[in-house]
Amino acid sequence: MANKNRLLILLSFFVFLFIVIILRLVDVQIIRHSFYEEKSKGQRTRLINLAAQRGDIVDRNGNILATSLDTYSVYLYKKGWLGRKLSLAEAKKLQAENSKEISILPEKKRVYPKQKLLAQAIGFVGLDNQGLSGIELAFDEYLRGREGKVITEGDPKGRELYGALRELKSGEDGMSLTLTIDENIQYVAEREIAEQVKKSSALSGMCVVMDARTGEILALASKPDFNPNAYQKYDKKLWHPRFLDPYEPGSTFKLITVASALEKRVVTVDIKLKALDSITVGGKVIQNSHNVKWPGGTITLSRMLEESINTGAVQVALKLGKEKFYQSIKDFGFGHKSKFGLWGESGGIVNHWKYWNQPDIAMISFGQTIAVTPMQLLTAVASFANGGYLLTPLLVKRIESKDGKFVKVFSNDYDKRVIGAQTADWMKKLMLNVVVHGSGRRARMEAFKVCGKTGTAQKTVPGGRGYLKDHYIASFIGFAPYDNPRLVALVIVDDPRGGYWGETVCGPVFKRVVEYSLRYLNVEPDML
Amino acid sequence: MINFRMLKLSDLWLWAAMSVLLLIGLLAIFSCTHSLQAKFGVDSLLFVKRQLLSLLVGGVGLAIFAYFDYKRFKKATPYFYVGILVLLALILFAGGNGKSAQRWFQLGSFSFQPSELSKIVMVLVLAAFFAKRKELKTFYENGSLLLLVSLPFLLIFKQPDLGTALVFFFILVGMLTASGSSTKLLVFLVTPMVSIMLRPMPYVWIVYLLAIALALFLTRASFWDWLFVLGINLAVGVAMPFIWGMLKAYQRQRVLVFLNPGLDPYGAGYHSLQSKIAIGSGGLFGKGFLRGTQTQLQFIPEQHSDFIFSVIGEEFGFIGASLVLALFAIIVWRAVVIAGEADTPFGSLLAYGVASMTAFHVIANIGMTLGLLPVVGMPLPFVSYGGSSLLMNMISMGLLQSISMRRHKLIF
Repeated sequence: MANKNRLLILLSFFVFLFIVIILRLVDVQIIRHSFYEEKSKGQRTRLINLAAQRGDIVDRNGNILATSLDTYSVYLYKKGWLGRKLSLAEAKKLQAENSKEISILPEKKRVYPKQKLLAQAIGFVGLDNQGLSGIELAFDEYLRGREGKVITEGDPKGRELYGALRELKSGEDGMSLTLTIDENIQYVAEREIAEQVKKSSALSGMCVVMDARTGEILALASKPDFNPNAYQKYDKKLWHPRFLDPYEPGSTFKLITVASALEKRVVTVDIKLKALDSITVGGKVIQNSHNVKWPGGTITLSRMLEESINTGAVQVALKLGKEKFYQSIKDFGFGHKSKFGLWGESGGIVNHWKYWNQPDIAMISFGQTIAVTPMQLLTAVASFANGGYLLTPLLVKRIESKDGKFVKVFSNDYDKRVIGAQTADWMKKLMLNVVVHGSGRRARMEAFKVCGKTGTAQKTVPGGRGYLKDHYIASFIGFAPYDNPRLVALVIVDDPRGGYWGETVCGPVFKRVVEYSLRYLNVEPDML
Repeated sequence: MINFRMLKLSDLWLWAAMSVLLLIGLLAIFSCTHSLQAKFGVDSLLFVKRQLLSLLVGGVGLAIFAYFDYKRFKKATPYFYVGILVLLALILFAGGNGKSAQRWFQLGSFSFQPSELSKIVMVLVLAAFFAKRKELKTFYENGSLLLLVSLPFLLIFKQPDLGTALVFFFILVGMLTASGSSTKLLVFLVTPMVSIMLRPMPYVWIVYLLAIALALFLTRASFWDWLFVLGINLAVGVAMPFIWGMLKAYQRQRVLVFLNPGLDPYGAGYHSLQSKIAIGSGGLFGKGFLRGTQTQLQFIPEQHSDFIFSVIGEEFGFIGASLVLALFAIIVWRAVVIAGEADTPFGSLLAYGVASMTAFHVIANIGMTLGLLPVVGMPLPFVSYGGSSLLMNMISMGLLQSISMRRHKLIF
């Protein structure tokens, strides 16, 4: 009969295999239990996020610029979303066309009732109400609120279990944002700049209006733009807020050169500069942009600005010297991000003086080989208007939660003086003369004394060195009224055709927008 | 043919283990089928009722085989054998459209699977064969054994029913081991099996052949041993690609997925993965009767039949799963004890055969649900839904009890 050893082998074989199975059970059910439990849960449950009520964006007077509507989304366990953010009728129709297992879930949809108004600054949101651009992106954490969460369960064939759908967490409303923008001024600024862009067949145009006393931005017009309610239908390039990008300011930068020299006391306000047709710096011959008749051998500082004479600005810069000039440029905020709230802002391009080429000091004196952002130039010039303070430009005035428990208010604390009151006053006078006697004459207003400066910068070769011929960026910067300056504004037109001078292209836009704004704001006229 | 004193000799452990397994099986079947039935508006107890009916049939089978002296069946083995061959042959021609496997006869609303019954018939036939011959010496004896196993094996392989074919192989190995037949024969049988497993990795296979040669050299094997052992291993290795080609696509797929589980997570590997998720998520104590989410939502196909162990693992946890294993261990242990105490070599071999068969079923089935072994159609004895399997297993228990009750000469 059976061999005992053999049977022992057979039996131990069985025992061994039973032990292997027990060990495997320990492994799967005890050691890796949580792993499989997760898998088990993940297989049958679906978590659905519902877009919450996003906070409204309103202008400084409470006019709604962005809000949310009640919409309905249609969900099928097997396929996911069938349709999102539909009207109730559309959702019911979709439900009727499909099986009974369809759920209609309430969601909020972002809408921009003013359509294109302030589009590049406001930005837009995605399907899940996540901020994708502009203020919607930069202040997403405040605006977004908390998504509502709905959970449901289903079997492997994709059938939802009856009654499994339930709310896990209700949504939390987002906070509302009050901007510093004034809807009416914004509208006028957009209308005027759009018209000028069209008239000049230009690539684009901007018009920024700021309260010179507070740093609050009242208008931030940029054309061409897009409609955030249908942003996908527009070229992506139009989504980008143009005012975040740097440009070569040209002659408007002479203001900074002059203000720096006056503040550093290297020139006096009544200095006489040599009247030159050209000047050679570091081997480069610099000429004036236009021929000027010279009544004498010298010109005043005021005349240099009035007629925007490059050779004059170069003389002023040379008196400053590289180091002082550079330091002053940095003090005015160039080369630093202005941090006014939006993402993707440039700090401009300001090289350290040690890396300047020989002719650079001369080029920078009239705003070439340096790049600034509109916000930087605006706040720098605002310091002339407000007695010397460098302000942070403000786009958002206030953030408030729905229950009022969270409030954040933004304002300037006037802790940075960039120039003394005397220098500021001289600059005001010099800029007034530009409008009264010089190239800024087209910005003159009936009831207000206007201070200003034109700029006509040659465009640089994109991505390369040197300048393009016959392609310019025309600009005008100024403030008013002279006696007690209230508004500072910058108008930029990129590559105008026909007339390209800042004076003719941008001066009239400045005049119309700022004059309207001053009247609208009931500012007391200073010219009778 | 039976009296009270004999009943007292019947094995209580066996009765108890079998009964508890049957009960657990009914609970598990109810758990994974009641909701399915409710969905289609049918009686939620439909599967349980059918299984109870099978249990009744199985009980009759058990009673018959326990009541009669098992030695009577020894003489009947040729009839069983021929009978089962006829049934297996019939089924090949009776049904199937050529594409899907045909494994059962339809009898009204019940189906009958001859391959299940063929397992116990094989045990009976082999027990009778080895009881006559202690050692297989002649070519004739070896040849007749080969023929005896090959005929039903080929018929089942043709169905195709890989699971049953494998059960045959293990019954044979188990009974050869128990019968005291020569070690050589076992080597002839087992080494080609290993060859099959190693053949996909040619270099490993060649090393394996060299190892066999070394073993033969060390044991000073004769020329004929060299010829047979290496010959059969080489033949298997050469023939394998052809046999591989003969396998059905799904069988090949299952073997491939077994060898590399990451291959096809939503195809053949799906069974294995889902089963592991169900069992693993059950944890120590399980999710509770009727509360296993994977089971109730029917993530696992064939859950009431081949994958019933995943229901137990999920709803009754490690405790329940180990209890089931322990119960099977008891059955195998009692079968071995009964084999040791049997009054005839035939009875002893019969009991070993049942032990091997049951053990192999349990290991292969549970190993499959735990992702240790490839997915082949093989029910869990007493627990899986299915009348043919239940009948076969209960007949096996009947035979064991019959052997147990007649282990000593009764004195009147």
